[in-house]
Amino acid sequence: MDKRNVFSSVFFILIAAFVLVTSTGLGIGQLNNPRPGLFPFTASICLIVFCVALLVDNFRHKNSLITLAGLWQDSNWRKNIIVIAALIIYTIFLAVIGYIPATFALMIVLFIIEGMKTWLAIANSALAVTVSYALFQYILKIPLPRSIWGL
Amino acid sequence: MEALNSLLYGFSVAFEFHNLILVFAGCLLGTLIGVLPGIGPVGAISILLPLTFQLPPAGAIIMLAGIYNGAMYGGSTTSILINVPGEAASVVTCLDGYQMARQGQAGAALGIAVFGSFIAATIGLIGLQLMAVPLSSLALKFGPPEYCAIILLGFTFIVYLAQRSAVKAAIMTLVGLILGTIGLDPITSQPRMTFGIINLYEGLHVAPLAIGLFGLAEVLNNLEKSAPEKLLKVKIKNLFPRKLHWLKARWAILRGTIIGFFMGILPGGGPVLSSFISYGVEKRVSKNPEMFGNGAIEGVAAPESANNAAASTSFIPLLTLGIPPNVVLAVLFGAFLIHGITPGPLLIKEHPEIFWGIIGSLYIGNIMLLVINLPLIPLWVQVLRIPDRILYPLIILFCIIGAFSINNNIFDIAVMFIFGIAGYLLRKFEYEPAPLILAFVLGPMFEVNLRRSLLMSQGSFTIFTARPIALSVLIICFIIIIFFIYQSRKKTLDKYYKQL
Repeated sequence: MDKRNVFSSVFFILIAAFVLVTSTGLGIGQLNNPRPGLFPFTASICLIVFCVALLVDNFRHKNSLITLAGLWQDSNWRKNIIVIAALIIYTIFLAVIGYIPATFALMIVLFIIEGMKTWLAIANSALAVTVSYALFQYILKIPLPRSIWGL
Repeated sequence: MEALNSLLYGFSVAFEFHNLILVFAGCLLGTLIGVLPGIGPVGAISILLPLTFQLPPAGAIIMLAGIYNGAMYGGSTTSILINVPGEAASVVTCLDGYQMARQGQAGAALGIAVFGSFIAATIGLIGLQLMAVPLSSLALKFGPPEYCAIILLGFTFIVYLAQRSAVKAAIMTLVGLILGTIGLDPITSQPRMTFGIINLYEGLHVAPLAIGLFGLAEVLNNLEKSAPEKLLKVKIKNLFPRKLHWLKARWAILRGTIIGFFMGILPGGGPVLSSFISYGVEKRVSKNPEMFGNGAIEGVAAPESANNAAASTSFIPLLTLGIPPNVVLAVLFGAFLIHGITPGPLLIKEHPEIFWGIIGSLYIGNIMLLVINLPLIPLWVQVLRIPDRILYPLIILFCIIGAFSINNNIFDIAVMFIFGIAGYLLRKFEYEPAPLILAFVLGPMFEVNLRRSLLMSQGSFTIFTARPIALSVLIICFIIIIFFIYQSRKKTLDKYYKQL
């Protein structure tokens, strides 16, 4: 049994069920007068059907067991956890402190995670932020996020 | 004669100085992206989209098309030299390209890949040029039922041609369709799946989704790999293939071109699939199939020709019908809309400078790519030496800027991060993200045309059978589904009998 299929099917069935309920609230209408809920309603039913098919097929075939933990075996998954956490914190703080300090801090974290020495990471981050800010803000005239103080 | 006049007009647009610079920049950036493992053309076009915001629409699309073609050319370099494909369409090139490099024939492999790509892409472009006008005229006669049937055919092909599980591809397609419903209802303007979040009223944009699923997810996948790939130390000489190489590879190039030509037009096909199919065909028709995987030059020539022919012809459904046939073109479709241009049958009439300008610039880009690729291969080899510790943080930085600049909204960065994590997990669970993006782009078109068809027919599905084009397309869908079920049953029974 492939646990990846079991887990993902159940996850998508839950999503489909949620969409099904929400689309019913939007109004399904009739074929001669389809309402906004008709399309997501139909898509979610089809999604449930295919997920069930995947589940049934998975239980029918007696392949070797593939566990979820096995997916991250022999991989440097801790790196990804730190990167994802850093990205979440970055998104939260970006709107408050603006592009330059938030991105500078993020880049330091990313460079250090990748094994760069701290002083080199700081220098490279400063360079990356300066060049990207100059390129997008001044040359390409694409405004980058500012802090709540307008900086 | 008219086609020739139109092409000359296209060249006059493409030869304008600023457009030439843009074609060159696009080809150069595309090759760079194709060379660098870890980011493919989908992520690259999405990330580099902001660079085109200040450009006129024709120039912007010309540059993005150059990036696409450049990535197709550049992808083979990493496949041959380090056994790591720069992008998905060059995966199969690794099999024989790397073996050739190990046997001291890296130059011949790189050379035949570039020349094969050039020949195939040029033939593909001639096809695009000849088919575009009649198809556009035909498409003008299409109504909602015809569009609905064609998009349905697209979904059928996406699932049928899935590289892994068809059921999983169907699930991804349906998730894409559901994501496409987020925002205001296209007919009644009623908010759907927005949950009171104002940022969702306009729906999700394809660029943050694509950047997340193909850019960030790819970086996350590479980050967790413990050992970086080692660059093969080879002397690259004799980039111009010798007569013997040409004799061996000529039919492979031709067959690859034909396969790529048709696979490029098919929805769900495109460069990736055509390269796999052409490799399989080549191995089957070869008198020495045992050579494949051990450095057969045909194993390099065929897939590289196929993916470049497909890259050229995949513009046909986008420019004439307004239907992107693959995920890269789906992102390009989004780029068209950002620049206020709707691709489709009216494009040729309303924006001939864009339509013919793209075709003209693709021809020029092809020649530029030949020039860029051959003498600059030593430079691309040096690019491969950029350490991951510098490359990946910079890709993440560009992902952030690319997502933000679409609407100057931090919300899009959050969307990109969410889909980056989702893309990483989807790969772990062996789901392909490409059907999701394609369905996300085609979904709203499909819904609008389906609902309009139903309104036109007072709720009767006979509207699809009463119109010959729609009916023919639906019959094709039906045949594919029946064929698919037959194939699956046969496979299961074969397995069962083997076990007995």
